[in-house]
Amino acid sequence: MSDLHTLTLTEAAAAIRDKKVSSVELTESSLKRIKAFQPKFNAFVRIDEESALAGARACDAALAAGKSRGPLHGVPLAHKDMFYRRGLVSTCGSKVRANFVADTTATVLEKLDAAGALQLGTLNMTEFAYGPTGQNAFIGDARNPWNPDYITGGSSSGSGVSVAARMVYAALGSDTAGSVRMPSSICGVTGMKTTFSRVSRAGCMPLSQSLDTIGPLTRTVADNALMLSVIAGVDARDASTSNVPLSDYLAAAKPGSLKGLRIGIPRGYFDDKLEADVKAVQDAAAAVYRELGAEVLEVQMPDLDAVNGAGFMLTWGDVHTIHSQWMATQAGDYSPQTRGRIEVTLGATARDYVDAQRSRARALKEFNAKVFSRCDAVLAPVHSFPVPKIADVDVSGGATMLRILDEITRLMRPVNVLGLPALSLPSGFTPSGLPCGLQLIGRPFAEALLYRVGAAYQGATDWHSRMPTAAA
Amino acid sequence: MSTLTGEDVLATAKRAGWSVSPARAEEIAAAANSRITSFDKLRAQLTFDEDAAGFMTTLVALRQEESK
Repeated sequence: MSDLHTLTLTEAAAAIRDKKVSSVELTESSLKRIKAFQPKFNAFVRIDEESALAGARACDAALAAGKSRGPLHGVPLAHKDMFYRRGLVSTCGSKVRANFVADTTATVLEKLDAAGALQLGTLNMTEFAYGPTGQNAFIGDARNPWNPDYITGGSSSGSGVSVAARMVYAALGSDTAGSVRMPSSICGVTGMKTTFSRVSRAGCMPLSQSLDTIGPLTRTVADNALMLSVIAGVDARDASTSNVPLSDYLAAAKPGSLKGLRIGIPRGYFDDKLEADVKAVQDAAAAVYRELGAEVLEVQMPDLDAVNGAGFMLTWGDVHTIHSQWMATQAGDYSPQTRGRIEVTLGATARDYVDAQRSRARALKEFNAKVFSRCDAVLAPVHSFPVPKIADVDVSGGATMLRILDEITRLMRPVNVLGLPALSLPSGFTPSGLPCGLQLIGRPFAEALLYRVGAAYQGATDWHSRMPTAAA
Repeated sequence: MSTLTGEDVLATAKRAGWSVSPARAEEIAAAANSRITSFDKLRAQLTFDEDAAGFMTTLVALRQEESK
C-alpha cells in the first residue's frame, strides 16, 4: 500500500487486521513524516522510535500467530505530554516538571495498550495545559500546519497538529475549558470533549479536577468513536468516573439521515460578538443539517455568562491549590505567561470556589430544561472570531492579546462547568485560509448521539478530509 | 458580595508565600472582580440546601436516553 499516512485510524486498523499492511510499515511511515515535519511544526516533545518499532514488530509477530490484541492492534498514536507512563518523563510542558519521571501509567494509556495501540511519543502542549493558544516558551511553540504564523490552539496543541499533519492516526488531549475543541477547530480535526466522569483521569496531569476531561482528536468521527470506545468507562483508580453504561459509539458513528432530530442554533451568549466569518460557517453547517433531514431551530440560551464566571472560580481554586507550593518556591521556572495566569488565581476565595461547586447542579438543570427540552443537540461556534496570529497573542502583544485571551475560551468553558459532551467538527475555512470548527453540544453522556450527528455531517461534507498543503 | 481589592490579593499572596507586587495585585483584583461579578448572578440563586455533591447526581439523572 502507498500513501499510508492518508489512511484514517479506522482504515489503518483494518489494513493491519486484514494483513494488507504491517504494523512496522505503518509505524515507519509515521516516523518518516514525524522526522520530516518536526522541525517545521514542533508537534512532538519526545519521539519514542525504538520502543514503537519494537512494539510494531511484536504486533506483527502476534498477528502472524493469529493473535490480535484488540481493535487498535499495531496502530501508531501519540499523546499530549501529560499522560503518565511509568518510568518515562512527562514534562507537562513545563520546566518545573522537566525531569519528572512517572511512577504510574495513566489508565487511558493502559486501555490503549490493551487495545493494541502503539505510542510514537509525547506531544507538545501549553505549559500545565493552562492556556488556550497552544504557545509554549519552554518547549517552543507548536506550529499550525495550515499556516505557521497562526496559533494552533491549545492546550492540546501537539495533538491537533500531529493529527492534522497526518503524523499519527489519533491523539489524546484534555479539555478543561476548550483544550480539545480549540486545537481541533483551528487545526481542522475532529475532537470530543467528553462528559465529565466518562473517561478516567487516573495518571493524567491535573489542571482543574473540577472540570478536567480526557478526549480524542482524530481525522474523522468514526475514528473518534473508535478511540472513545477503547478509553471510556468506569475506573477503580478514579473515583470520579461514572458507571453509566457505555453506548455503542461505533454503531452510532455512521452517516445517515437525521430525520426527526432537532438541532438548536443558540440565541444569546454564543452569538454575542460572533464575527461574520464564523457565523457564515455556522449558517452553512445549519443548511447541511437541514438537507440531512434535521429540524434546525433557534433556541434561547440561559445566562451562560454567570456559568462562565463559575468556571473561573472553579479553575482558580483548583489551579491555586495544585501550584501553590511551586509558585512559592520556584516561580521563576514557570514561563511568564503561565505564571501570570496562575497569579490571577489569587483572586478567588474559598467561598467563591465552594459556591461555584454548589451552583453547578442548578446551572445544569436550568440548561437542560431550557435547551434540551427544545432540541437534541446545540450547534455552536467553538470561538467567536477567526484564528489569531501568534504575534497577536504573544506575551508582549498588549491590548489585542488580552482581548483575545479573554474571548477565546468564552464559548467553551460553560460546557465544562455543565459537564456536557461536545464534539468539535471541521466545518469550513475563514478567509485567512485557516480551518474553523463548530461544536455540537449534547445532554450528559450523549456522545453516541453527537457521533451520529457528526457522522451524518461528515458524510455530506469533506472539510474533515482536507489536508494542510504544508504537510502534503 | 464586597469587591476584591489589591490589598486582599496581597494578603492572600503573603499567606501562600507567593511574591506579587502591589501594582500586580491591583491588576489581579480588577481581573478577578469582573469574573466574580458575572458569577454572582448565579450565586445569588443558591439556597441553603444546595451542595456540591448535587452536580454528579444531576449529571447522571439527566443523561441521554439510550433510545435517542
